[in-house]
Amino acid sequence: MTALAQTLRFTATDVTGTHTVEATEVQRALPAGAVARSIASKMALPDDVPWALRSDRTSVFLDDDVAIGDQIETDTPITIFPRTHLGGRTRAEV
Amino acid sequence: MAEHWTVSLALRLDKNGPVVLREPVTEADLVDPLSECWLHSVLRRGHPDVELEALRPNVVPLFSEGGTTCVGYTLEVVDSNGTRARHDFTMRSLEGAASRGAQRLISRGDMRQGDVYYFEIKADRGPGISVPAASDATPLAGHASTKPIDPLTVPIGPLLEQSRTVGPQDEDVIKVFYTEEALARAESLSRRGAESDPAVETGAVLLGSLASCPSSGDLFLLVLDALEASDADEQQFSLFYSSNTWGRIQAVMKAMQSQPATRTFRIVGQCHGHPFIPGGGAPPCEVCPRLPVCGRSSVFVSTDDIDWSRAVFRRQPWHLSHIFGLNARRENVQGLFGLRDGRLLERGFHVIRDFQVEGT
Repeated sequence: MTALAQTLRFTATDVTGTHTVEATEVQRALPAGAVARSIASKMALPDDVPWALRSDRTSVFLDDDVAIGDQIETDTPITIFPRTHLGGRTRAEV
Repeated sequence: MAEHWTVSLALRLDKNGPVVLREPVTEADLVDPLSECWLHSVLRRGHPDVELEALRPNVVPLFSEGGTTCVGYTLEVVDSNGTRARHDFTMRSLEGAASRGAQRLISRGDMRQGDVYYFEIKADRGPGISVPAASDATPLAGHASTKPIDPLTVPIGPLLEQSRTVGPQDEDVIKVFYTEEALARAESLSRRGAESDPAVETGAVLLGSLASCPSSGDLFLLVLDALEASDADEQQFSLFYSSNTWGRIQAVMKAMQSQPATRTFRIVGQCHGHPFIPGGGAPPCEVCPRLPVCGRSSVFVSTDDIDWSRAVFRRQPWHLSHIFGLNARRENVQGLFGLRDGRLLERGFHVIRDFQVEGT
């Protein structure tokens, strides 16, 4: 396999459509969870939040533990979103 | 030349006891304060084209009159044109860093979950604010960009004249104008879950535009619609946006942004219900019948709400969290929260009958 074929390129956007990363030369073998953390870092999103990726072509969550190259093709637009929830269980200390 | 300071937090387990931990204040801890400084000292002063990334920040400690205690700090920023601006913050804006330090104390067994702790700012002359610890993220080749603010041009005077106000009004926060229809829809979608048995949390994203007044240059926010968080995981005390939830929101946003009338629409916040009686359902206190307003309610931003907003609206300091809840008298109450002093604090807003984008 050539070096180029071992990599992907794609556009990742945050859920509000405010931040975008044009990623190039992403190793196909990298787990999607690791790619999510890299995208979050590139967008300067908080690093203490779990991030996940979603293919905008299939509307499917990417599996964190599976290589990204096994889940999307090059140029597939993806969205990064926080795997966290809203809710009134814990009152913030004020 | 500007003086540079290194800032950390000193944590104590007893008010007058020894310092048990020094927690460094990092650039990441100052993202919300810096965004807020950008909003009030740059964008709201007629410079909506200046990007946050163009600002070079410097932290200057604020000392008490005696000069011994650091009571807060000033963020000074310089843009690429050399224009300087500054904004003051209290030490409570660093509660996130203090909480991180407390977790460190808990994990090493020096403190238990729920224990009270005290913190204060320590400032030393040095190289500047700390850089965050290296992330374990694999470096990614590519280019990152941020969508321009792109505000509508709207005179603010006529909106103020026709509006009614809700909650405390403060000149120091960005003005927010809800249309009557958007507010009613936000409330209806947030309270939908109260009709279930047991009640569950439901909500919506708030849609609208930033707008700039041509005469004052002030930037303000228009909330023009609410889009239901459908297909979400709705629980008694939590609301999780699923892949389908986000997929639908993005599809609607894309369609809206392709139309002239709604081209500038963006997600400007979220609303949801806290459909539970405060205090675990405890009845109102004895003096409640003699008070005009019940002071106990489920209207607050939880730590989960704060973490969610911090993640979703990073570097969008105009973002809102609107909570619709109940007081101890079981009456409907609501509160709008926005960024102030680096935290989500309750604030007031204006309600207007309607708003039409000019030219549509």
